[in-house]
Amino acid sequence: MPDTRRITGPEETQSPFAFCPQFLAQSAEAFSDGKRRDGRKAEADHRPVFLKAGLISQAKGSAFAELDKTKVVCAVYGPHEVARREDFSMQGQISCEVKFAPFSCRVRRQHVQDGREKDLSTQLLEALEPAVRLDSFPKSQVDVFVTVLENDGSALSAAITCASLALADAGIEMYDLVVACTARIHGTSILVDPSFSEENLKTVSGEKPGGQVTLGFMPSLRQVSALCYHGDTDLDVLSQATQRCQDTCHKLYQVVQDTLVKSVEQRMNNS
Amino acid sequence: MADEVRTAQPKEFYRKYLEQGVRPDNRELGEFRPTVLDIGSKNGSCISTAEGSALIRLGNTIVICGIKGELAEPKTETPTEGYLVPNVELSAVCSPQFRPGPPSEQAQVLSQFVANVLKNSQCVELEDLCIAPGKMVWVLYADLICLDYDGNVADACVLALTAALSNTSLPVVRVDEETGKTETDFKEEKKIQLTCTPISATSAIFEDNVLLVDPTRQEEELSTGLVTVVTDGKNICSLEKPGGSPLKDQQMRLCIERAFQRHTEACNLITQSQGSTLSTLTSPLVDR
Amino acid sequence: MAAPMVKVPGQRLARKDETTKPGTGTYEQNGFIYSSLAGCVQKETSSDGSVQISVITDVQQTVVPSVEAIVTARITNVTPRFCKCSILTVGKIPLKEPFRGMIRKEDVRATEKDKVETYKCFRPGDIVVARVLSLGDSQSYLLTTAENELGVVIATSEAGASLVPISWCKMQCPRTLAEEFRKVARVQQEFLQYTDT
Repeated sequence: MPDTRRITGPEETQSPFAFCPQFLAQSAEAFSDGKRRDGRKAEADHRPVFLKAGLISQAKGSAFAELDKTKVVCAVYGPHEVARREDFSMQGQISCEVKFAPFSCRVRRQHVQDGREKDLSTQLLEALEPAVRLDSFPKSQVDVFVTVLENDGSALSAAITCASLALADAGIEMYDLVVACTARIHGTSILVDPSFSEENLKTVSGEKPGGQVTLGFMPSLRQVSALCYHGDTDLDVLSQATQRCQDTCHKLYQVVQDTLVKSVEQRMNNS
Repeated sequence: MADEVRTAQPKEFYRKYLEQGVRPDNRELGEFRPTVLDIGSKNGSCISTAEGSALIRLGNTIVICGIKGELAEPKTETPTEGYLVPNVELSAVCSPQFRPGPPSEQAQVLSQFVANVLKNSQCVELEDLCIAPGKMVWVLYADLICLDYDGNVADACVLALTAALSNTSLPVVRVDEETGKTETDFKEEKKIQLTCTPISATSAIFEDNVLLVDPTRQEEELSTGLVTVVTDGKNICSLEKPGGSPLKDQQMRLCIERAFQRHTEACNLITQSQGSTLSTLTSPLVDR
Repeated sequence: MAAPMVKVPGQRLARKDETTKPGTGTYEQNGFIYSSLAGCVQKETSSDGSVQISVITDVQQTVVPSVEAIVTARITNVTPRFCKCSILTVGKIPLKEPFRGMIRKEDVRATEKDKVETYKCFRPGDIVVARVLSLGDSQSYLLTTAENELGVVIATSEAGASLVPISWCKMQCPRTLAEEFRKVARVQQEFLQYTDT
């Protein structure tokens, strides 16, 4: 259906990648020369993470997360009145929305939210709800909006970490910060924090297809807030992958805490 | 106390400042907010998945522009012209007044404004985007996303778009004439050439007689009219004044003068910013 | 003076025992007190020797109108039975997005509740100081101005000038000298300091 509210180009367009088969073709090789595709050495290596809290002036709280090339921005608004009267409850509510920018992937995405984005929004909500003290804002709703500016793999875990950082920046009471990590199971290797090309690795013939697991973890309370998995693997490989994710989350927790402390100190110095 | 007056009686608050000839954020009436621009390195862009990109920070207003190229058949009446499709998205991220969903009226107005600027200034030769006449042309989608809405998104969009277009490089696509097969060669690249750099300058009219250049969101809300002038350095490409309080001839000339001044500033900024990375998003906020 | 300690949600602050109590911005779990906000730690020692630990965020705290809180609101609707208003600030903290509130006819004054004419107490556009009675229903919070110190603080006359209070039920326009009826708030000592900047 044509989008009458936006300026549209021609009806049928094709990405230039469609005419260059070697680019989008999925390879089955995870390692080449003993290194992963993007130069990392070990399976358990996480890409360099950069986080910043408090960058959108109009939002109550905001954060920016950069996992090497994956860039995610999150803004938190509220608490404000619940939009629909039927949703009245003495507990607060959170609503999440994840959106990929049209230029965030190799192949341009549409403006309208598609099924995948809706899926991610629900997963994000599941990961954040256990960590927020909902009884601290009765009758109100907090909105979390995430925009993925560039997707180079692990977008969901970047979104979860970014969103919990933004919630803390907004002054919403939370039990703990949620840190997330993704692992890609490919044959026998478990690749932590996969890049986009690693997420799309072709199955090695003769082996199980593998899968991808994203873990949302609250390190201080040692509780899992969300576990999203899709694929086909053995149970012990999956539990090993989850353990690896947990270890990485512990490492990331320090970075997230430092970012928050820095932003609070900066706010104190400015005022 | 100042905050309470600002919330309860904003017009009074502004009036007191304007009597002294300054604005609450210490700017003069004709001064633009500090602008920071990120265009990305020569080999890629600040967004590596996009063919061209730019991020601009105009005070607190943040707009990011990403250019994606796709292939399509040209229109039958213009077989050698490509397409340039801009779209402005005022997402729920940038301000509490926007809800998620289809574009609001304001976003549609802005998109149309940007499309007009591109058409009137003819900064991109659509014939440049042709690969095989009548069969295949480039479609450049310019998606502008506002991440922080603090007024004057129009100027930020135009600047981001111009900056992004100045650094867009497309892969070379060849159509074999005999077989009709298309092939993309990512090793070679073709840079988009701009014929001119359109830059805009918006002023808000406050209480029928004061002109405030580069209004913040609060100034926009209190204004009684807006004027936008787009220039390309030599000529005026477009002038928009959708209703609002009437302006005298002298005031209109002032707006135009400011637009030309802004053009020189902006062009310098674009040349200086070539080759930076996405650091503006994370630099300290400008004090309100 | 030592720099205040900054803590983030989930960080352990202290062990919970008889002398330490969790304050605002903290919660208790498994015998420990954890922080639930990103801010500075404040330790208050009360008279009986117990220490209350709270975490204070600067500036934009999450404020939601709570029962018994004093709020500032702008009147939006006036009907014979109630007035609808839009809550602008809670205490001294301005809200980024206003909440809806309602003042019923019987909550306007403490005396002669049934003889109240809402149009003679409030007009749309007035700024009032009220107290939150209850969380109300799904639509709005319930507010009351049934105290001497609650009521209209800023109002504009029909001529457009700021009204000056002359008694608890009347205000006068300085331009036209016409008197208008309002339920005026008595200016208390603490409020004087507030508006004196």
